[in-house]
Amino acid sequence: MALSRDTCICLRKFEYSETSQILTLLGREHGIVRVMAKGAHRRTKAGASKFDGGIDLLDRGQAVFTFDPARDLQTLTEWHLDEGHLELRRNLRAVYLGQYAAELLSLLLENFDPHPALFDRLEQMLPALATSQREEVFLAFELELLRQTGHLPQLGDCANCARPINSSATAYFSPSTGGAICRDCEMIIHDRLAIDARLLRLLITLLRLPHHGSMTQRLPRLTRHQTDPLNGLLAQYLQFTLGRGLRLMRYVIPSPIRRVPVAT
Amino acid sequence: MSNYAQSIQDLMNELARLPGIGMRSAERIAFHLLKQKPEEAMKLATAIRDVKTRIRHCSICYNLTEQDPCAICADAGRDQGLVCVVEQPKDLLALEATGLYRGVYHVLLGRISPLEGVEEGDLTIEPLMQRLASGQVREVIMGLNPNLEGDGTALHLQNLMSQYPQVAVTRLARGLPAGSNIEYANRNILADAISGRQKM
Ligand SMILES: [Zn+2]
Repeated sequence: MALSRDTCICLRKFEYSETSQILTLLGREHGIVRVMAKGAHRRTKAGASKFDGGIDLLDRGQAVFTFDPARDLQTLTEWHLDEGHLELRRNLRAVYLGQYAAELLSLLLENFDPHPALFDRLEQMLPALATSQREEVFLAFELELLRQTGHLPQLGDCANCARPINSSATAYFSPSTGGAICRDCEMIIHDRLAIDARLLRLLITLLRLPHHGSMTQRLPRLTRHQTDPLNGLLAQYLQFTLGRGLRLMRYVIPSPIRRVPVAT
Repeated sequence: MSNYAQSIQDLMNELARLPGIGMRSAERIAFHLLKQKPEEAMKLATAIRDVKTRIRHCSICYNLTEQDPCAICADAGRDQGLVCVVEQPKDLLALEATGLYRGVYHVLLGRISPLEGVEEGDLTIEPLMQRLASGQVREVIMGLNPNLEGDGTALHLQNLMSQYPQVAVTRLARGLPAGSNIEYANRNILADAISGRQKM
């Protein structure tokens, strides 16, 4: 069996037995790869271990694994830890945002479908979660993930009638229609969510930022007042399009936006 | 399909559901039990029944015990103001085996693991907060596994405990395992060891 080598970030970890783990890795060049790590917790008395002491969520390392796309589960044969994100683990918000990124990636990416640029963005984003820029850095990453996987909702034009949305104080968003809704259409949309129009424009601004070089320097500073409604909007949209709940949603967005009742 | 009698097949199926046992091992164990004298084989059945009927969680610390409260909670010689929070009873046993700790424990029965669907409500966090509210606890030692989910759980508990400012919150020291070699330690262990260095 041919062995492959790749820089990987661990997105999911399941303790399969006392000594083995099943991991979902995001490989820079291989995309999502599920591997079995046999003997992951085993060490010699001196402390040597095949997988550098076991692999944790969000760890980045150099992985060697069997690679046969016909199989669902590959075998990890080597792992060398490059980055374990100890700073991130000191902040609960960072811990949850990091796991939310892992959940979104494992849901939105297909197996063996590489996205090197997205991998690089994730690699930049994770350490920044430990800093005071975590909100804007996460939101920018989330938007980039949606764009690169074709899940970006329509934001500038009405998702129902395609006319440009003119700026008013309150904007509307409909997960089932696929994006922002103009004032003319909002009354007939059953699942519309009301949101401050400035926040919706903020998303458009973030999407227009050039995305080469260091992202963090160009991002506007954002607070939870701004990111909670936006993360909530995108989460509700994704839950609708994926047809399933997001497990981290209640940790990341404590009070999601409620639907505006339809006038009768 | 196998041609075993139904009772043998049932036994093999049950054994194969145990962790680390495949169908071939299950077959080998089943035939081993068949060859044993009835009284020998029935010891296993009795042991399983006893453990399922007698063992329960201590109503104070959630350790596994035959008597409630458990021997540790009932021990008047132990410091009831010092509580070490661990994920599982086996973590408690590992700490007890050192013979060095004279406080008591609180077993969470897991850790917050959102990706796997394990939430705060699935753990014994509420009873822990009730222990703190009683005012008898002076210090809580976080003895959770030093991984992302364990650290997240510890931070969540720390937030909840901030309503009890009289309770000091500490965590087990991290760094190089005694008896190991520095060259085999990974980056995380070395980073922890450097930031947690101690005065000699
Ligand atoms: Zn007890």
